[in-house]
Amino acid sequence: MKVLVAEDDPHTRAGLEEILIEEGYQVIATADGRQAWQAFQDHSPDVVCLDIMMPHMDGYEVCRKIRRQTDEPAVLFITAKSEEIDAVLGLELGADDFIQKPFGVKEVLARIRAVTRRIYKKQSAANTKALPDSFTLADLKVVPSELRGFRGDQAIELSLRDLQILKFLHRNEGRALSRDSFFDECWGFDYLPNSRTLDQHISQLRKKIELDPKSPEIIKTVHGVGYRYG
Amino acid sequence: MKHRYLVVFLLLTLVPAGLIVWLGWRVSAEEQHRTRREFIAVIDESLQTHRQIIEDRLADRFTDLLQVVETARLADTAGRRELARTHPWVRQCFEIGPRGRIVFPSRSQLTEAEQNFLMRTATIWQERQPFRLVDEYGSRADSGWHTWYWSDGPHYILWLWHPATDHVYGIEVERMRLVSEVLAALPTEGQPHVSIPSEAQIQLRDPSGRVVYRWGRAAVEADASPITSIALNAPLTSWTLSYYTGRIITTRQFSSQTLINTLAILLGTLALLSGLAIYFYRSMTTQMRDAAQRVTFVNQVSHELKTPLTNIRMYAELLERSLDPDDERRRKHLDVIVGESQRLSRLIGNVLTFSKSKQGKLSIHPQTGCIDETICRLIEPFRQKVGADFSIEQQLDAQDDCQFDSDVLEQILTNLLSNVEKYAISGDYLSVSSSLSDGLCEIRVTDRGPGVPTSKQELIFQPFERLSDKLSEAAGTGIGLSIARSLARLHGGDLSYLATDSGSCFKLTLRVSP
Repeated sequence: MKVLVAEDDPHTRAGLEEILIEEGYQVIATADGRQAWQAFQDHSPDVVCLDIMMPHMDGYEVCRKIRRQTDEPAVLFITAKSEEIDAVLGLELGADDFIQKPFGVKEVLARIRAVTRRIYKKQSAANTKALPDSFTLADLKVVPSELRGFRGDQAIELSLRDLQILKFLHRNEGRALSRDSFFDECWGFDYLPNSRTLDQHISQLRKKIELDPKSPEIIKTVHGVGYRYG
Repeated sequence: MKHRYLVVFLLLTLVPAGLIVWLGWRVSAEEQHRTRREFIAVIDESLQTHRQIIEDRLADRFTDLLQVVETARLADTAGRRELARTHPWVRQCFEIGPRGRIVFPSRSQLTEAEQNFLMRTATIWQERQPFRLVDEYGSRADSGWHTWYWSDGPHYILWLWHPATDHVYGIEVERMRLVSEVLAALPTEGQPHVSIPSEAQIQLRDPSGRVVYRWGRAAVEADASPITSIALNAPLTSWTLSYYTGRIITTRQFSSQTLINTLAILLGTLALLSGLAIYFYRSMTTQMRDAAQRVTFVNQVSHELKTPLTNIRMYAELLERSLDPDDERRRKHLDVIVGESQRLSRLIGNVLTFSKSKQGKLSIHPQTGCIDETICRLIEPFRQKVGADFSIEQQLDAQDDCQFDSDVLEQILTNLLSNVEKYAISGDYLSVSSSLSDGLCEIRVTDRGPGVPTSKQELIFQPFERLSDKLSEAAGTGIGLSIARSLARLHGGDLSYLATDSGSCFKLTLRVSP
């Protein structure tokens, strides 16, 4: 899933990019409205995160141009001006949500995930795209379209990255999978691997889905190789 | 806002202006009325003066003519006929016996003149007592004038009662002689007269309304109405003296002069009021603009602070995510950065909320949620901050989902908890209770700190009011409770301070819907 981020502050932009990549999204980052509009036309992103005050073209204008062309992508405004965003929503420019500065990582992720679920739901209703099927890993039922896993009645929030890892493990049940194969499959070929990235992610994922993260049942460690399911 | 000041401006100018117009109109009308009254009084006086002149002259003649009547009484028939023929004032003599019987002229030997006299006076003799009428006090007159009308106008008789014989003697006065006598007493026609203005005219009119005499320079049209008129006394009853004016003294002129004066006063006052109103309006708008600029500046600064604050918080959290779970020391350091950035966010949030409340822009956006969940979400970081020695009691009974603005509740509770942290940390105790019934949520936040003195329990909700401004006291902006109460009231509830034995207790109510 592609996310276009348009934010003129370089640090905020880079931080958002990092959060979203880590979450499993493909990110296109731009520094002003004109670049954002160009990137939108070039990449057709699923989600657009727009800062309101940007050089060359403000976020409202970018949103208007996008909505004139299509209703497809979800649009989120990122703003420090709370009263302006009220006006935006009031004017029904077509924004799906807004993230108000100063925001925390958890808030950004919660809103992006909510938007992603809505996109899946919309696609399901319109039947426009083949949605990922649900699958089971041990006693965990994973429903990718909801970005959730279920153990009995207990719902577990999952990121896109989590889903990619679990899907990769599910497809290769019983096989020991190398670290590089995880990076290639779940992060993409152009990702520069950091040995700690995968381990940390697996560690956090285990905390979410394993009954006892210290004795994992779903994601088992294969010493010297990588990880294995089953 | 501007419309309100425009209305005030218009009220400040138009209402007094309207009052002045009304008062001016009243004064003008009163002035006209008064001036006219005075003018008519002056004219009346002038007319009465002239009437007096006429009466004085006639009074003199009355005395003279009574002598003539006396002469006629003593004269025989021939003497009386001679008197009528030769005396310029006497047209005819007569004598009437008791019960109205005509003694002279005797019907047995009448001259032509006497026959005419009897014919002219026929209506008089029909009366039993034509002359000796009783006045209103019961007295009977013994001499006087008698006027009657015959054919070409009024005729005049002067009579005298003789008590010894109970006969009435009299003469018919030559009418033209009488009129000439009157005219001789009046000022010369066409000449200015001291007693009337040069542009006025007085007319003497006979009983038929014909102008007999006029004086004064004014040109008066034939159909003009007099300013005022008075009737003459006997024998010229039904004669009138009328006062006319030319162009100078008219009601319209009085009216326009007064109107011009009133308008001048009105315009002057209106200009003064407008000047004052503009001055105050400008002064007020300048103050408002300055205040708005200050608020806007704080608003702008607060917004500008948000982006660097976002970066501090976001990167601290990113760093925290990549931290080794066992690296407790660094995690603590990052917790401080995240915690302080959140505190700064709250402060900025308070400033912006305060700014919004001053601009009347605060609004609530209720959504379905659980009040207790919001409370727990806030208590947890507070618990971590204050440490294990600090006792926190929770009696939460608002688990049912309802419609409320969680951001508003969060901001109110954050302010209350922040106050506990700043001022009541020494009490080592916090109790938070919640309940939900009949669409009203009640939350109580109680501590065992120093509490608030009774005299200041309401004052603490005023903006910028702090219990102490000492440097040694905990820092604060002094707007937290004011904002919290504003938000609570916006949410259909209230925030109040409840007196307790020790510490403070804040009672928060919010109107919620299922």
